[in-house]
Amino acid sequence: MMKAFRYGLRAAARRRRWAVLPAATTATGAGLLVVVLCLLPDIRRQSAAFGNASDLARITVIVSLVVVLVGAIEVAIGATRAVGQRRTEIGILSASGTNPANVVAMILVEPVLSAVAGAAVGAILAVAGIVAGGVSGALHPAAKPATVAQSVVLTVLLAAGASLLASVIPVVNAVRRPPVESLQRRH
Amino acid sequence: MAERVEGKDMTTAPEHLVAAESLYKLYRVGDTVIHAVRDVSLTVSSGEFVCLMGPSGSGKTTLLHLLGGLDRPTRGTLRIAGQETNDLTEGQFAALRHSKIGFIFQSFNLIPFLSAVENTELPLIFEDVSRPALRTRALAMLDRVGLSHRAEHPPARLSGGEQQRVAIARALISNPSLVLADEPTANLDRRAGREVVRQLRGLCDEMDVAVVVCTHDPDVAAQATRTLVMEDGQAIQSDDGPRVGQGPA
Repeated sequence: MMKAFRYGLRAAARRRRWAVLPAATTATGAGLLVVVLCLLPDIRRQSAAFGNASDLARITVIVSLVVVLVGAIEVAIGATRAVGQRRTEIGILSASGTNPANVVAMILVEPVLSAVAGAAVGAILAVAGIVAGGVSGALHPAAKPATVAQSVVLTVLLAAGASLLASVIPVVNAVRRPPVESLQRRH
Repeated sequence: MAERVEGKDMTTAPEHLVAAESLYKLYRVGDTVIHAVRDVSLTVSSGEFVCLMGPSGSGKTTLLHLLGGLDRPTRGTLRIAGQETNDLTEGQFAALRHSKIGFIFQSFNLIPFLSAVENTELPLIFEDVSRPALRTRALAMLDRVGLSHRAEHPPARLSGGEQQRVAIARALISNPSLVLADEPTANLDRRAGREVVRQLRGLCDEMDVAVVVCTHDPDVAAQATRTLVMEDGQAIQSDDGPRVGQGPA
């Protein structure tokens, strides 16, 4: 399986231009999620002053989930696109009798990696934005450093899990397809 | 039923690398049944270069796919290297392909983001072979097709003939007993096609590999030790007739 992972990394590096859009979308979603998670205590505190803390907290959680869902859909679209582009590779490996689990693993590396990289970049930018907002006085973040770190880790893990879930079905379907079909549909 | 001509009992002939008997492949499209392959029997021995000829739609590519386990026959028996394949699971047939069969395709099917040498390595990248050993083997294979100087070039920087020679190296890297080639010269000019066939024939002779090739190309057929002509899914003619079975579905 390590060989599949290594080959997947090499392929992802060579195909990086195809990962930019899914990574950018995931970065946007992850950034918004980190902002929401980091500012949640402030949102709760300020909304409590208006007497509707629970409503606002619920709304922010719903918005976060929608953002995550949009990110997952983009990752699934990216994975489907990657599977389409790598049909020949899948067909050749299947025709050569390669273990399907290795093929699935090496194809999955790309969407998961792009989601994780995008989420990490988005989360870091979001934290940088919150810090900059705090320094400039535009924001008054009350989140502790540990909460911020937890938010970043949670967001990246969520992106990795969502991308894996969103990608695994199109990839497994592609690998299950008869090699003849994978190789013929190209032309 | 048309007369059936069989020279040998192929199901028990251990010397044959491939022994196909009465293969049928039917497709159902709505209420219509299409006989892509019907009642084709064929044996191939080590080192043979067998050519499947016939017009488009005659069933030669389908037969090639059946011989390689890329598709399963509706009826009939197929033995490869003495192994009965009818009862094999997909995984078992994949393992058989992995150890015994190499494929060459009309459109080369090289991976665009891999170099020539990486494309050559592809069938063995998940094998228990160290990376340097695999690289050495792939470079040696590329050297045999005269492309060691192009090892680091991606397919886009290779000519059609060179790409097909990389595909030959890829098909042979796992030391298969059988190579199945589907119209390997169809996308090449005549000169490049001749060179590709010359190299394929030479290498397979050297390595004692049997080749079954589908083609319209008379230059390819000229290299064959045996030619099977197909029409409407049936084998209608062979230059060693006794091995060909034919009859209606």
